[in-house]
Amino acid sequence: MSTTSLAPSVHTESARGIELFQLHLESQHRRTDRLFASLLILEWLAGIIAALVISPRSWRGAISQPHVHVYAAVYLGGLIVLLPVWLAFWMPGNAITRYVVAVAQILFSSLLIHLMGGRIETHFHIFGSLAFLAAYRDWRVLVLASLVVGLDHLLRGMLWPQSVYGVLAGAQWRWVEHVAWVAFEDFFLIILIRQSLSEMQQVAQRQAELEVAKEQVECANRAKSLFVANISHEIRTPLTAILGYTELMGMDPQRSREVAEYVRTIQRNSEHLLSLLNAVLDLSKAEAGGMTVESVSCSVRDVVEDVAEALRPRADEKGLCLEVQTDANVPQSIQSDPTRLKQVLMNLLSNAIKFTSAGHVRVHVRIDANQTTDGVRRMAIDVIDTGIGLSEEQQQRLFRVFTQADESTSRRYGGTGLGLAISKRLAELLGGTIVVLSTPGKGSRFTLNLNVRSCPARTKNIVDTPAAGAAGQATPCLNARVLLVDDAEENRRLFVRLLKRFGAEVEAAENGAEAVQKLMTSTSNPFDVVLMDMQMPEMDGFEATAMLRRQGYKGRIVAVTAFASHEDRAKCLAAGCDDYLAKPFSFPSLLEKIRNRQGQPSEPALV
Amino acid sequence: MRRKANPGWLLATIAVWLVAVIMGMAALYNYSHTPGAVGSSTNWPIASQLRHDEIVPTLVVALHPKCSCSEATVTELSRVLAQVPKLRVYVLAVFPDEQTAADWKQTPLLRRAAQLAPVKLVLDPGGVEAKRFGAQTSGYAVLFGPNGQRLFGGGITDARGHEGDNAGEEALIQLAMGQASDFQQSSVFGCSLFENTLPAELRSASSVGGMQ
Repeated sequence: MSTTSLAPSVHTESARGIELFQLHLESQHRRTDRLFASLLILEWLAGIIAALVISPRSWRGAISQPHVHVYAAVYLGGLIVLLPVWLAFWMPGNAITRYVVAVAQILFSSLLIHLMGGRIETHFHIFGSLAFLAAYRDWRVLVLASLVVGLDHLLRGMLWPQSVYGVLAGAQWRWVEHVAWVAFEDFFLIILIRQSLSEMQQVAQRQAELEVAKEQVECANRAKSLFVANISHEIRTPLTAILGYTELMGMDPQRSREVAEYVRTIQRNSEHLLSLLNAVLDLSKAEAGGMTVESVSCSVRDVVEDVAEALRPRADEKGLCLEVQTDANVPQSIQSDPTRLKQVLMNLLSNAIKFTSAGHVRVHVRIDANQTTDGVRRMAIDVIDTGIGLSEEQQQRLFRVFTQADESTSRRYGGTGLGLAISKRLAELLGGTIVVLSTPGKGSRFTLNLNVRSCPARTKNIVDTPAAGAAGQATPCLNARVLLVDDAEENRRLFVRLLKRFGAEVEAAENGAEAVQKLMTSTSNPFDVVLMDMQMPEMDGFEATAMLRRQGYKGRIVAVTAFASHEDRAKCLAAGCDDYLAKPFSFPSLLEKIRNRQGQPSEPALV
Repeated sequence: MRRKANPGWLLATIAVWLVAVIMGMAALYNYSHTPGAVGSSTNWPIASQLRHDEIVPTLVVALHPKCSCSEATVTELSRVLAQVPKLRVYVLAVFPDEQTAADWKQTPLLRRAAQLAPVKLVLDPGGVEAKRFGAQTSGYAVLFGPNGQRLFGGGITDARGHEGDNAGEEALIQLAMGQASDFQQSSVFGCSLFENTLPAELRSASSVGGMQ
């Protein structure tokens, strides 16, 4: 790092260090003010008790009345305590408060010595008070208190030496000796105060350095997250076109077998690229602490079945037996996040299939019969395989980011090493853990443990999953007028061609401004749905949607964007969109969003 | 949040507080130093039921059994006895009359005094003996020579309930040891032995005994 880049940082740290030191010191003053307020009140009560015990009443023959010392303890003691206690609660941390506290504390020593009959032992109250006053870490407080001690001794030495010294001999100079002992104590207390202040300064400076370092790290992390989000957007946009056109090519009945194979390869690799992109995005969010989970009613059986069915073709391809076993006592519905749960299971199961060449892969859902008083039960989902297994050492680094079992694993099986790290974090967000048991050469068992609360049964999970392959199986008929708003020409061409192919009437706009103009001037022939890209030059989708809603446009607007996080979805809906679709998407997903407008059931299969 | 008070008002409040506390301390000082009444006494009273020693000096100390201020007198008496071992000492426990409750005759103060050697505790209902010796205030001590001559009369503490060196005690010790002293009497600080004695704060300054 260059000197020029360090200089402002050092300056900032230094200023912040001073600021933190002052804050800590003020906090110390406030705390000590309140401690002394409590102490003074206790001393007041102790003084009253002492007076009541030592000299409760004064007598005149058989007649008695409360002793003057009792009145003195109550009223004079109360008067001494009143102002510092009031200041401690009214102006804590203020210099004047601690000075008044110091004077009051010594005056109370004087009263206490009087009430105790001038006993020399009571002088220890003064030394104790000085030590306690050092808690302010302000030498001026000690000096002021010591001056009051000196003045008190001087006056008493002149007027009534026995009240403070007990003896008459040398009374005129004895105050010097007493003040010298006080100064002796002050000397050490002031040294300790200086050391304590120095330590506080060092702590504050270190805290400032940590704060600055943390801020820099957070800043770098924010920049990284922004970069990842932007790069994700930039990659998703061309991926949309690649996946869209391959899907379109896949629908062509005239294609040769060879071309069909090319198309499937492109599609498979694009989907892999997309899954990598999603993993990087998830990791970025997890590291920034921005990953969230929801808690809704969902069927764990459906989640497990969906995952198994999605991966069954891959297992079949390798000749593996994929089994799902769900214990009978597993509740129909639990409170959890089905999307995240599915993501974790998808990763565990796809890993199991990937690393197993022969035998079987089994998913076992089981639940603890006992439940806690608040209705929480322990549920475990085991993913058991007869694959290559893992050594102890490999197991230990398995959940680290960018880490696989070993380098040869990466070379042989591929993958980024992100999946398990993300799964572990997701499991923790879901309130659970992932545990692995494995024997090299024999297989592995990954167990996702979750604390779940069962809830009333529901019919089917609503998980945002593409309905793969549906578009190729039938040709749906879209009887809708669609306005497509997208700045990417390839995407516009793709969507227009696709939607027209399914029977929709499509118009396109290059940006938000053009879309607004088209929508506001098409009152005689209104659009049924607007597919709005959100990131566009000139006027983006957020602004255009907000403007349309402000102008009273009530038509359906579906956000179609390459910003694919939960937060982006919420942002789009907040801007006024009715629905949201992340790029890249499958045609069935797009058609379903349009068909939803038409009041037809939102099932993956198309007519 | 740090509050900021008007500095003028704050300083004025602190000044008023300081003055009030100092005045309170001064009043306490004044109370402690206001002596009790002292009656007249000369030589050993003939009417007394007590007998003075004819070889060593005799000290008579009058105490109100419940006077907390006289605790200091008993402490100082122990110091006197430590320095003057050859002394006959009578401590008169003055209580109102014969019908007075028993707890007056067994107070911690009297127990402490009785434990001192060679103190002889004398119960004095109605303070008959105390009056013969001119005692009006608890803590009054009067010293007689072997021939019954009054050598000293007054208190042996410097203030109400305060222990420590004092001129009365010093004079008493000197006289008891046969030495000369500039003082033959001192002020007495303690409770009034009798109801009809005016409270200290109501007596005029002229009637208050000082060092003589």
